[in-house]
Amino acid sequence: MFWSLGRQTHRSPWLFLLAAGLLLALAAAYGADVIRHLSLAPGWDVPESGSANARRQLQRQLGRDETPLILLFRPRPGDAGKVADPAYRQAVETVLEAVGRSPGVLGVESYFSSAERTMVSSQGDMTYALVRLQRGNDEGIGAYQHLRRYLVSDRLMIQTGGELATYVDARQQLERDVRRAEWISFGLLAVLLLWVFGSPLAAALPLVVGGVTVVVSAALLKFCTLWMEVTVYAANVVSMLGLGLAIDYGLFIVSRFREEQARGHAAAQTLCITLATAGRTVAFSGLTVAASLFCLTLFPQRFFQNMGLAGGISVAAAMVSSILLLPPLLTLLGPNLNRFALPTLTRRQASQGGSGAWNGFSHFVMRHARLVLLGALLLLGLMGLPLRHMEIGPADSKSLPASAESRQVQETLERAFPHTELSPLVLTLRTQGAAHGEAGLTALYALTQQLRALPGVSRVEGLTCLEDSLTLADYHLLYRYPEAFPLASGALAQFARGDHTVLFVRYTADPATPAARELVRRIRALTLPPAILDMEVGGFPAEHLDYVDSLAQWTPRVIAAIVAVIGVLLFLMLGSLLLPLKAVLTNLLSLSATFGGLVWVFQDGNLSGLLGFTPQGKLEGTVLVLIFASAFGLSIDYEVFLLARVKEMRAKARDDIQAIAAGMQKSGPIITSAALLIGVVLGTFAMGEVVFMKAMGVGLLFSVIVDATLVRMLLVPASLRLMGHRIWWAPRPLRRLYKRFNVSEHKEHPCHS
Amino acid sequence: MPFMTNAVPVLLFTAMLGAATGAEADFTLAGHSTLTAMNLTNTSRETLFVKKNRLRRDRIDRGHAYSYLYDLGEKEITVLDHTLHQAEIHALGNAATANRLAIKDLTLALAPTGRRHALQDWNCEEHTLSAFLPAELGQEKVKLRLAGQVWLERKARQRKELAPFVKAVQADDFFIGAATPGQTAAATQIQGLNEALRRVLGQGMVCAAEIRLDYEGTGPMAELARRMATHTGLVYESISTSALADAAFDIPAGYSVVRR
Repeated sequence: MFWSLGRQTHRSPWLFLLAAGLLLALAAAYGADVIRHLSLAPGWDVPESGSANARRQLQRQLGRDETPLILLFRPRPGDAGKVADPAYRQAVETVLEAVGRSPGVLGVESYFSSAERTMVSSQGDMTYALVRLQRGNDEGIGAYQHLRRYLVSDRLMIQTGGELATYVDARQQLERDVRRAEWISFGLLAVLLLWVFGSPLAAALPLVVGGVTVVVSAALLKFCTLWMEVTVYAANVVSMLGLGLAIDYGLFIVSRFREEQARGHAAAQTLCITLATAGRTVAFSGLTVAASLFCLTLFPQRFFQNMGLAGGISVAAAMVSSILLLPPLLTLLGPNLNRFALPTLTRRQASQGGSGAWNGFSHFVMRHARLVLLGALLLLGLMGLPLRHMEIGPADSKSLPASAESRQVQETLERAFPHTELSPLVLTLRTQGAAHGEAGLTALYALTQQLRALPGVSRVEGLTCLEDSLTLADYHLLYRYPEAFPLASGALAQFARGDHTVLFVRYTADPATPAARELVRRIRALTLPPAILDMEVGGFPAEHLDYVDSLAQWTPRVIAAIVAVIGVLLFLMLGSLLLPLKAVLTNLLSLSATFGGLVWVFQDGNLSGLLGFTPQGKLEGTVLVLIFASAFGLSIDYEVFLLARVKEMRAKARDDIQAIAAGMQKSGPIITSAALLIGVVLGTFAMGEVVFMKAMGVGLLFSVIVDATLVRMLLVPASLRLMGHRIWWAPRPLRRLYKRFNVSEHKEHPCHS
Repeated sequence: MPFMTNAVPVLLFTAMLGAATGAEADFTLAGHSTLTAMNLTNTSRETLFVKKNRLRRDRIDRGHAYSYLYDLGEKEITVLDHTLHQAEIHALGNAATANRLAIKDLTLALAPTGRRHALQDWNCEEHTLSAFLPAELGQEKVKLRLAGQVWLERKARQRKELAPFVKAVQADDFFIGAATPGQTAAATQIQGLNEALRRVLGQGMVCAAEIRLDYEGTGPMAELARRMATHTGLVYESISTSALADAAFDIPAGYSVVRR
């Protein structure tokens, strides 16, 4: 297949380029506005989980589709104003009056409207207001951005906080980080590619593939939005993975082309060999990485499905662009590929050839395979040690830079408002008959008593919680004639609709802690009174609990799927049953070292000063899953580069040791260069201000470094050496199958064009 | 907390209108109304805009912004719900006729205490208010009791330019009760309150009030309502005579209009 592609390309390079140009123009025109089609809602919800059901019932059955926003008021510097001052009150109310009329604002509660003492800081100089915003299709972001124009006061400083504000701050910061990272990485890559290739023309080719990949991926992503909701975060994945892998693949193909050129082949033969070797490896690698990323779509959360889709699309686009676009360009450039080469860099490049440092190193590993294997395993084991105390927890505003407004609000609330409970648990209930009927009220009253008795619960709000002195008989009377009591009719409007009602449970624990999640478990375990048909528990701790439970349930399945896919594809490529197993094991070791590093840095706070972030005391589950899928893919990428070369050398070398050493010599510099290049891309993302993105960048960078050094240079060759020819074993029926569908094309045929 | 708690500030405000509309210049008055029941307080910022015989009252009730547009010439009140972008127009005369209450049992006593309170150039005199109104809670006949203080500006009431407004308030068909949607069930009681305040207006213009509301009766509803007694108040804190735009008294563009 690849020989044939090589022949066709060499025969009609302009036809390929024309087709590619047309497709690129179409993709650029179609995908130019992709961002407008992406959803602002990230899609963390676990469908059909208790928290998702609670949110849905709150929206559909109780008509409460809202999200809270915190407005923090404080005097301007130098002003000793107190909340009790009439002028302070006047200033706050003037702002809130305008906010109350802003579109999408469902209600505003302040200290001045409720006299709630907990809404005033312990020093009496700050107060906050709670704004209820219509959630709508954009999570309330539009309403939030509109109301911000009213947050102006001559007398007071106003800051916004809460979950929504944190999300918006994070998104804006991420946009800035990604834009900066893209520019920096593109510039650095250009310099590094020049350093690697020594020739500006050769260096430009992987960048061209990278650019094309990003454009095509954006168009494909927009196409996906025709039938599914795709989050804006997907665009970041396209940039990061698409660009990185396209450059890796470009590097691999261009390097091989130049190598074959140097061997003095005819132009057509050079191209055919390049495609049959490097092209084939890139195809398998791309398929493997894309397939492993597509496995993320098995997760029930839309966020992971989007990430898998975007990752898979960008890797596939990188792979196809490298195989179909680079060969016609290489054909047309031919010997001119090295034109304008910089002599110094060219000499350095030439010295990297077959012998030299890589030759000596590979023979060292072959000679001391046992020692090298033990040393590598020991090092990887040590690096994975911090995993033993890994904590998974939700991200909050502390993952933003200290200058972020929402983070400052959260820290101020924690410091100056000691009794504030802003993230209640939301219990949606379905009752037998009307919620305010006899049976419904009796059951609700009993449930309220049970909830109040739970440790850590500070307050319950709902139909039967208006006042402690009211008895069940009082509530029956109250709701029998609600029109006579505004408090009752107000409570009905607020908490109930037909046979559905809601309870809000306030608690003393920090919403992001295991104690809050334990409370959710306890509430879910309560025995419901007979007239309550079902109860769903939502709110931030419940959402996080469902999220973590879902990860625990689905991650093993996703890992199994990834391993199976990789196993099949590597078998098809290498014809061995043990090699895929070994590849998975070594990659898992590599990943454990990466996660250990992440724990050591982001959870334990080491290097936090150097990297510029606040230690989180936990790792966010999403980061781990995304790193797992991406790093596993990249790891397999390098494994494929190395093993493909070893297999190729095996056909030419005297024995396995010779083949492994030669494979290492040939692939080592390329893997190192590839790791260096993708490391630059990931490193620039690690410079981001949001801990989420920083952890992704640092984690993947660390993974690439570990993989390209400890794993690919030491562990893999040593293990291959020790297992000898047995590593290529496969059962007879599978060997027959492999031969039947053999896509191995490393034998050199004449390539007539 | 019985039915009329939201209505009382409305009616207190009505009394305030009398003082405001009498002047030739435009008026803007700003203050707060407070409602406390069962340890829950709801304070609303109250702003009143007056221009000839058109008035506008803005308030925020539990975070919901409302405006009430009064056209005393047309005898109409328009309630703007800024959250829903909705306008409901009520005919004042219809409301009064439909809910006409035999108010012969209404008793009201107003006694000056001698204390005074200044609101810019107004001299507000404190009075003790005591009133009983016939009411119905559930299926129980009860008496609503209002007790507290009202501060009245007697001279403003006597100003010649206030005559058209005084005449409007004292007319039989004048009604300014349950204009907020969903409060019609308490209309008869509100009519009683309306009547009580019309009598207060006969004494002077209200610039502030603090009133406790509870019930007399022997049934379980009265007992429950007594335990849920309400304190309500209205205080205007400033008066401005800056000119107001006519558009402030119109229904904003884009609002759906419902005529009741």
